[in-house]
Amino acid sequence: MSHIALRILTMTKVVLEARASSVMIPGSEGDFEVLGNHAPLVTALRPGRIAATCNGEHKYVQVDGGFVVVMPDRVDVLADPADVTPR
Amino acid sequence: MEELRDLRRRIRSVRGTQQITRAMSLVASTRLRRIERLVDPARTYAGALRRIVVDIAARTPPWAHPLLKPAEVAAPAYLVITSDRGLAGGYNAEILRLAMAHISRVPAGGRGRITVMAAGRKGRDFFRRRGLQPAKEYVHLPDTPDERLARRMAEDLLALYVDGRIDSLHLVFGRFMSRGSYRPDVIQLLPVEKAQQAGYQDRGQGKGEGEDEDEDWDGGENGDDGQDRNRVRDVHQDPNPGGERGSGREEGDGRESHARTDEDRGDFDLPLTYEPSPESVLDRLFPHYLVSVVYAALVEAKASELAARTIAMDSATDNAGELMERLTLTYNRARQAEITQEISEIATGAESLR
Repeated sequence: MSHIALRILTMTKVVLEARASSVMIPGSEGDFEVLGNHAPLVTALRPGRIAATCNGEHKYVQVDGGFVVVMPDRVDVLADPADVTPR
Repeated sequence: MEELRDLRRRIRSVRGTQQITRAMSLVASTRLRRIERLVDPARTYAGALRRIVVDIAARTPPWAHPLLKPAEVAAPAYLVITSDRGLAGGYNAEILRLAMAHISRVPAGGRGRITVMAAGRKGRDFFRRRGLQPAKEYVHLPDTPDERLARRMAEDLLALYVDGRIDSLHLVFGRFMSRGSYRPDVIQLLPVEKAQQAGYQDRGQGKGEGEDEDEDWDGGENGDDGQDRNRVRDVHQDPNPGGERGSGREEGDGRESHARTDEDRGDFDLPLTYEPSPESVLDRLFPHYLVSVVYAALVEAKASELAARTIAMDSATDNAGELMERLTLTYNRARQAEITQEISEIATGAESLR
């Protein structure tokens, strides 16, 4: 299974940098799941929870908005700054 | 006697000054260490957003979106970031010189409609003296650049652009290179151009991919202005003494590993899908992008200012040390001469009594 290099960034810090096998993303047009080799996509985020599966372990990060850039081998979440809380 | 007392007074005063400059250098270098940590995340964030903006610009006809229309350069605007306080060597003067070089290059037709915005008291005062009243001024900048200020500035900038009061926007600020160097730089933010070299790119990318010329992160407008490149301030010295070095090095390592991951992240080599559409993403993304670039520039400017101050205060401390050595030497000589003279006077006196 191909992994995704996931980065969750804000202006002031890197919130999460991990290799994930899947990432659930609350997109402005609806939630979607990203696996390896996803088609390249850019969309805005709505407030919600990003759920990443890293080595069978789940990681959650709450975001209030921002953008996500999906590439076949990586996902960059450019989160709205003030409102990121890892859970 | 008179001369000796005078020398003693001067030595004391130089020593006092040296204590102050040494303290200022330490304070600046400590604050720099804090700000330095913010530089990379800010660059990465702004760089990632910029790549999206440029990608959208490249695939969207310029008339389809107001942010993409080409500038007629009838009303250019410059946001110039300086510091509130001086004692930072040539820092502010260099930034302002670069800003003036660009402003004076604006064709005469547009001269009357140049808008200057000043962040930092030094820049504001400079432009006022020149009769270029800043349209917006941001003084008493926070010690640590914050997102609120960046947001306020970006909102002002966007409002001016949308109202049509300005048709292009440049940012002039000090690009932070390392603890010992910075470089005044200009980047164009608006309008967004297709092959825009002028934006933001995280550092790792530019360094890692030599062949990727037009994506060089420090592009700026230096390409057409060779002299700017020569303004690199490069002072090789270690501003943090002793135990502090460890932490500095750790940060350096962090940066390197970061650069490596960025290298793997090439540019968009595949067509991107925008949901719901490129234009609507651009609508929402652009203000966000502007905030992130202004924020990154504020962070870099603050880091550059502190680097400049550390350098300036270090060399002032060194100079004070040299001056004190010279004065002490003169003082000792004068004292010696006086003693010699007194002895010879006493000897002569004793001789004459005999």
